[in-house]
Amino acid sequence: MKEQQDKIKNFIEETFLVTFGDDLEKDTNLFESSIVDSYGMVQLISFLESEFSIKLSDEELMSDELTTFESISRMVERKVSE
Amino acid sequence: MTAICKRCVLPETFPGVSLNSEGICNHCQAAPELHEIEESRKALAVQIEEAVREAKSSSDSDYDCVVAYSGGKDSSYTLYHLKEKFGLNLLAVTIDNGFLSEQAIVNSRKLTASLGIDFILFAPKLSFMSNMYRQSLKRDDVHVKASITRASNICNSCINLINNQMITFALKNKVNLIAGGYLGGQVPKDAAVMKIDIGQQEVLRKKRLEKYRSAFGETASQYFGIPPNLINSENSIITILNPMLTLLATEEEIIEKISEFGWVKTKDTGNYSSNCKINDLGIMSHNKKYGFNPYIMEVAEGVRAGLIDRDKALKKLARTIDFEDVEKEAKAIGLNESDFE
Repeated sequence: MKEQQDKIKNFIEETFLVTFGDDLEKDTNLFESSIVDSYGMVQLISFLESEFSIKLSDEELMSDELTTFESISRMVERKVSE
Repeated sequence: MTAICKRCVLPETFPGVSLNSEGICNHCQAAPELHEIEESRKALAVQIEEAVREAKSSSDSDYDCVVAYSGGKDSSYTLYHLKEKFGLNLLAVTIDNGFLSEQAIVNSRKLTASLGIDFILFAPKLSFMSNMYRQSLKRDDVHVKASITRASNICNSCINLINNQMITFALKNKVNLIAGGYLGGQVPKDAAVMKIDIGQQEVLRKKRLEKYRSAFGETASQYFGIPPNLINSENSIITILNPMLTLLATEEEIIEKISEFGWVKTKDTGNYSSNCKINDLGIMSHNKKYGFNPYIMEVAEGVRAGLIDRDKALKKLARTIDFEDVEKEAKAIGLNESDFE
């Protein structure tokens, strides 16, 4: 789980040019805080699906699960173990 | 001297780029082989076909799709592709940002007339657009940080305004499909089909609108807002298509095809744009501020996909834009050379 979280954290920092601790916290809403826009959302989904070999449903894509680092990590953990 | 990837054209100054001991960037190291790119494009093309079929079957509008049409080469090719391949009844909408080349507007009229497509030209107030560009060049906090890897700040403002206007035109015409002519690098390469739920994004939209109002003034609501009375539970999901991400066409092939419909290359839009006269100003400012050309990711993607010759790309990227090249446009929005120092 730690490894998954590190990968997600690194992706967010490298792709969206932010630093945890400075620009955001684990529970920061990535969209409301203007870190991720609609194109960033596509990059995030593409990364999660390819990196963790999971497929997100339309409901999951439209849900609040993709809004914070914490909720994304929880969702990935659940999907990987399914 | 800035080191540049030996395979594509990305410089080490580009955010997140690192070169290995052989001088190859991390993007090239992770890039798929050419045949994999081709397979990926084919898979995305299938997604587009499915999205078009789904949108057509669920729409009761006179139009099948609203196209964000700039009159430039890529959106002209997109228009041609959607009409010829899918036979869609399109509504082409051009936003005249006050700096469109006259030739680009002529091209828009010629292409839509030749292809039998309804065409709307909408020109927001020039005073608003000039202020929007001025503020976009002065501030760094209008768009998400990562947007600097896709386009200049003035382009990002324009793209966001256009996207909002396209959604508004789509809702007004009861259309649930919107298409644009964006290339890989300008948008993520997986963004051939994007579904957005306008209704669900209300809180987010309001927050973004606050930001635009704070940066560009109260009039921003008129251009960046979506009238709430247009949104209901039946029309809130909109599908956005970027067909160019699925098409393996070189610039020469694109121009050859659209020329058949009367498209003529502009002479007053600088090194990269085929429709906009203020584009080079954004590039010059971006280069000074961030140390790289905002088109570089798009060019690098083209080189990796085998669509652009690397040596030609490097020559094009080496051309500098000086203030005297963009002085007319800078002064038109109330900026002087000292504003870029």
